Amino acid sequence: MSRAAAARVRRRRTLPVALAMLVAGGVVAALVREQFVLQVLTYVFIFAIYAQSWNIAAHSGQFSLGHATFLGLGAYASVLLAGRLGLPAAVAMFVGPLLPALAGLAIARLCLRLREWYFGMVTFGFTAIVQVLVVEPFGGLTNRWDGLDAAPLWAGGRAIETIAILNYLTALALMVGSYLLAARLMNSKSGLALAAIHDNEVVAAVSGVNVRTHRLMAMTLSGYVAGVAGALNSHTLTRHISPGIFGIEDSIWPLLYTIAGGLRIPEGPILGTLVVRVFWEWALRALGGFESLVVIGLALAVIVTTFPQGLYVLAARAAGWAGPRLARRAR
Amino acid sequence: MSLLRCEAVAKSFGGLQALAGVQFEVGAGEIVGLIGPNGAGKSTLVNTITGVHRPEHGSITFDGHEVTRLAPERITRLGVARTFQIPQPFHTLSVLENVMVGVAFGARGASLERAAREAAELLEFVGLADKAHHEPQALTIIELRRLELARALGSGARLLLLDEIHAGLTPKELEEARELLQRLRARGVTILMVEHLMQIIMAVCERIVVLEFGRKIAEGTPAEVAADPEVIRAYLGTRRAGGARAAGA
Ligand SMILES: Nc1ncnc2c1ncn2[C@@H]1O[C@H](COP(=O)(O)OP(=O)(O)OP(=O)(O)O)[C@@H](O)[C@H]1O
Ligand SMILES: [Mg+2]
Repeated sequence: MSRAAAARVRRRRTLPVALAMLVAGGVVAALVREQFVLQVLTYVFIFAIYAQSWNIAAHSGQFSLGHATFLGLGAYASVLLAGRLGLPAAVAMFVGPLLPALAGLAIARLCLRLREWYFGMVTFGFTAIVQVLVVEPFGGLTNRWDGLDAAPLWAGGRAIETIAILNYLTALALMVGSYLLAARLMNSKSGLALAAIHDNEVVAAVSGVNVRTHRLMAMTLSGYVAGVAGALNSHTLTRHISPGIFGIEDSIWPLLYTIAGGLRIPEGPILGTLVVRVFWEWALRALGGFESLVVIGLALAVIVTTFPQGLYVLAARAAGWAGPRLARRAR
Repeated sequence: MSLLRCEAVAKSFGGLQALAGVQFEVGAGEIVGLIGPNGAGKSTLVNTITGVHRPEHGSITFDGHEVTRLAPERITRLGVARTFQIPQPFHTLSVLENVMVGVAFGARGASLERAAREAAELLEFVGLADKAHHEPQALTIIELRRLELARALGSGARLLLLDEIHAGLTPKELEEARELLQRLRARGVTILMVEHLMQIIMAVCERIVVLEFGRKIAEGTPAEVAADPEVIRAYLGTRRAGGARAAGA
């Protein structure tokens, strides 16, 4: 494809993509009646928000291996605000994540001098620390390992099917919102600074970029968005929160989904979460526990080795509008 | 009036004294050459002036501002820009976007739209216009140096520190590079250039500062420096056996 076309891809409008996702999601909701399918897709939307939050931090070169910290803190804060203070879940869901936003700021501040694996290791360590804090000093508030029940986002005498659809639509809308947020950020002047920082902090700094404030900003925002995903998950799908959320697994998901879909591309986390999760659920059902894990592991290996730039770049190439910008890939 | 003033600047790495009290000035509008044998401390001096390294002693002022302990981005925004001896492009950005970073966040600051326009002009200026939407990996080393120059110019610098942007050029390319420097001078940019190539230093610099083992050993017009016995010793000494070198250490 031509260079000029590549430049056009760069300036591609994000609003049409957002609308297309809303319409597609709406059509599925209207057609599909199976509770299980709706639930899997609701999970996909929520975890795409979570993966997007990781992607925002990764865009600035801050590769977190402990994002469960923010997912979990958002969930706990929101569930407690709703349960103890009686805030409506719909409000708590957006107020609670201020806590992980602060945590993101603090961790970014402490890790300012760290990059790559070192940054990852320290963020990983924080998840363990936060888990201990939640269970011990704050155990009275959090009910220790037993956890807390979460107020439902949608309730009040509705049918289970209606609630499932409402959960689904809420998650869809918030996922599209997080997509617009990430896409706008990445295409903005700040996004250019974050990309420069990702590539080379010293050169970014001598080009006039304030590395410190941009790194802090990216992690604060990332913490907030991850927190919203955690809160949404607790108030809709799990209806419960326990310290298990600060486990390794929940820190790995956003990484896995984003890399499969396309790192540092706003569409990446969405496509990655959808494809990996749907394939995963299919494999679990079609093949059973042990065999499915083997197949899933192989499939992920194939995706990452064959399309290191992720499924989104693959799809974009196939559609004929992927430029060098998409192909220039992060580490 | 001097635009840049370094006083007794010292910087060491572990036990190695890379700069041992360097003192010199660069006047507004001047083109000054900074030369010296390998390891003399030329790049370290550039790093120290631009805030990449912090000196242990001494003071650096730019345009009357004390910049000795300022963060690199603050120094850049005051109007100092530099290239790197080994080109370090932003590898996930296009050539145009590389330059846009300098324009958007440099001394003048600019919106993305204005940064894109000005970056395109700068690519034109350094002769990279047709590579604007390439990735830096697709550029030759010489094109990468021009990209460094465009990025540095983009930040709206009044003082430009060039670290060996002419190494390895063919005579024809050198001639082009000389022209580029003349055009820069015409824009009113002050330049401190690190260079091994005496040919280009002699041709464009009004004044030359010579470093050896982190000390200034000579300073003057190209003719004066070329005739300076210390300079001759330093340069010949590095080629001869260790005697002269040890004496200088
Ligand atoms: N970051 C660093 N860490 C440790 N030592 C360093 C560092 N940077 C430079 N040095 C050492 O400081 C001394 C001066 O190095 P510098 O790069 O400033 O020399 P130079 O004059 O630019 O040489 P050249 O002409 O080879 O580029 C050298 O001995 C070098 O090995
Ligand atoms: Mg050097």
